[in-house]
Amino acid sequence: MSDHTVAHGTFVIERAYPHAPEKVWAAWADPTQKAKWFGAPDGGMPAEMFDFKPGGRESRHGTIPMVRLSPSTSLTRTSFH
Amino acid sequence: MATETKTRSVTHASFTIERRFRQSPTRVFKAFSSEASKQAWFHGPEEWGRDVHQMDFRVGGRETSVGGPPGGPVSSFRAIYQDIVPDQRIIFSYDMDLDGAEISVSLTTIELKPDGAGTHLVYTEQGAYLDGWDKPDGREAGTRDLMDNLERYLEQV
Repeated sequence: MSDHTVAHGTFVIERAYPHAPEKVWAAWADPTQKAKWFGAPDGGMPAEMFDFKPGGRESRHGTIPMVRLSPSTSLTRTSFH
Repeated sequence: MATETKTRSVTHASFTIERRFRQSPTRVFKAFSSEASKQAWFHGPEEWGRDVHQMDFRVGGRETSVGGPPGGPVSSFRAIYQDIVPDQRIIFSYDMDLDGAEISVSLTTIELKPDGAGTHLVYTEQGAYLDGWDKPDGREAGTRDLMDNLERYLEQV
């Protein structure tokens, strides 16, 4: 009847940074800081919306390189929005 | 407010509920997509009285349900629809608030598959349960109660 499928997945990543929680927090909470690491490495994926509060929304649009690990590792340009 | 110096914690858990209904996927989908139909089965125990419910069933649309036992804590359900494939799939994210305390954030996927003339429903919920307020098995039990409500509703109409 249809080719609609759902794969449910969960992953956990742990990192230890040599910086205080306040500094790491600011990298997520401050729009200028987040734009420097989230998305394109040159800051080429600016936020169209960045409302850092419960219920707030964040939206970005751009073309960024993403590494795909399957079926074989290759660099693929993927639209992310 | 219930947010005084409570220890912060997160418990991650998933559960899956499967049900088979005699009604078609189109009929079951309508029980989720029509505001009047959903209000007929999506609610707490009878003694809670009627919740305050609103639904904007489209991708990006919101749904809220606010209610609770008389004189007891007020529960708020706040959802955003993320993906809708008519008669086949509904995905929404939601959070729960208990008297002002954020108690959980979840992602729910409902798949409807033809099962003879009826429907095989697969309900998958992936959740983050916050600060010890609620437990995954309690949420699963509550969701099974809702699926019982849905089955009774479908048999009535």
